[in-house]
Amino acid sequence: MTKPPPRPVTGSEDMDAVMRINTELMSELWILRDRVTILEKLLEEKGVVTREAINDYAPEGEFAEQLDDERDRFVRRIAGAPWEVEFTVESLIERGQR
Amino acid sequence: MLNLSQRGRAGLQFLGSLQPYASSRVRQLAKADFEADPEGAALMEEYERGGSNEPWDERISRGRSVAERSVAYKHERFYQRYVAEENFVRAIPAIEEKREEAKKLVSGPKEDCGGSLELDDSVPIPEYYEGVEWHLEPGGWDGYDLAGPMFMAGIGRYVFSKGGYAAVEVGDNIRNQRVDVTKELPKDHYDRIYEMGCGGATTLLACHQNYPKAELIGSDLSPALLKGGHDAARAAGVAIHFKQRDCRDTREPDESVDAVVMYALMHEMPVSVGVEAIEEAFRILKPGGDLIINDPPPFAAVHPFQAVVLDWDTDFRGEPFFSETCATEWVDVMRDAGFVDTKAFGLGSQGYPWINLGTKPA
Repeated sequence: MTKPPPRPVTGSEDMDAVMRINTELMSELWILRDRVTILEKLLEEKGVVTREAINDYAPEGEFAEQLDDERDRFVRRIAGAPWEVEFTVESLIERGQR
Repeated sequence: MLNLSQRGRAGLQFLGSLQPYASSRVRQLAKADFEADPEGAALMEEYERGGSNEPWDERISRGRSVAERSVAYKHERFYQRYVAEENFVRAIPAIEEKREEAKKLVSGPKEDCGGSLELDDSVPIPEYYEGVEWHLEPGGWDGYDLAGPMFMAGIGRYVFSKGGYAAVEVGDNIRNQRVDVTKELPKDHYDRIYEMGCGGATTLLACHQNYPKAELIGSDLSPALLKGGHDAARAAGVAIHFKQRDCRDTREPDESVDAVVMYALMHEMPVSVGVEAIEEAFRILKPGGDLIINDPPPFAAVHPFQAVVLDWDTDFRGEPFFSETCATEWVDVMRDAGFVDTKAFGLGSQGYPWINLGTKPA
């Protein structure tokens, strides 16, 4: 069995842990991006939608608002994670769905 | 060529991007931090003056404490460890997704081209070898039945081919390196070339490229690596005779080969075993025969920061004998064994491949 390193690689167990999470995320993001790129290529080759159409697409109306809401929630959830550590029932109701 | 699934391929390609980036850009930053540190500068001055009498482990320890002050060093070393682990964490499941196809590569019919494979399970497995997860590979060299396809279609193809690990620099072509190294043998022709600890066929195929008329013999302790080598040799149409042997006891007759090659072998054994292997090489070489040893450079030959980087592999990359090997001047061991016309030199910018050459007196 391959065992963990004999001591933290960075000198700190906490730092090792954070870097592992970060690097796994970086890797998963790449794997997903690779897949999306392949999807775009195949969709274009099969005449379904071109990459240019995706690049030039300008969200409008209800769809644009939906994207705005999702994006704001995404940013709040990730950038706000270190700060949103205290809550009450009322604050959660006021904030709504993260 | 066996193609992996999207996830398998993309995951390994990610490692193949991360490692060279970390080993070049981030490592350069770490080295700059080392050189800017007053203690680092003192170590460099000592190195430029020709070293000191301080024991290697103490000198490396001083260098390590300087290096570990650098954030860039900590990041770069983290990525080295991460990639070394993830090579197998990703490649084994990726090959398992294609198990039937990979098995055909291993066990499918191969054309005979005059080589041979002699396995012998009476060859005792040495204590130093037992239970080591070499390079963090779970189960060691014989731990996974599809290790050959795993390296060929996965780790080798997407990660190792980019360099940036252990002593291999970013951009180094490790196949071409074997051709360049074996070309350093001093003669134009050899009748019989013997590789100790051959692993697979890669170095012997490079020997064939340089010495197409030579009879080629390779030995190793690992049945899996020998079988893989036999398959690779047949796929290449090159006759190589593979034998399961301990390099200290090849069972070849005295004075029966013209050249002995040891490629990236020494650091996989304790120094005491390496000494015995050199003595065995002397025995089986004909008078006038040549020995070439390629391995990571000795600590004495490299920048103090590079010495810290090499030493790190011992504890963190499944290389238990790396540091004691780098603390050894193999060319001195060769002279003690009776070799003459000995020389040692580096081919790469950081000293790897590091070559030791010697000839058995005629």
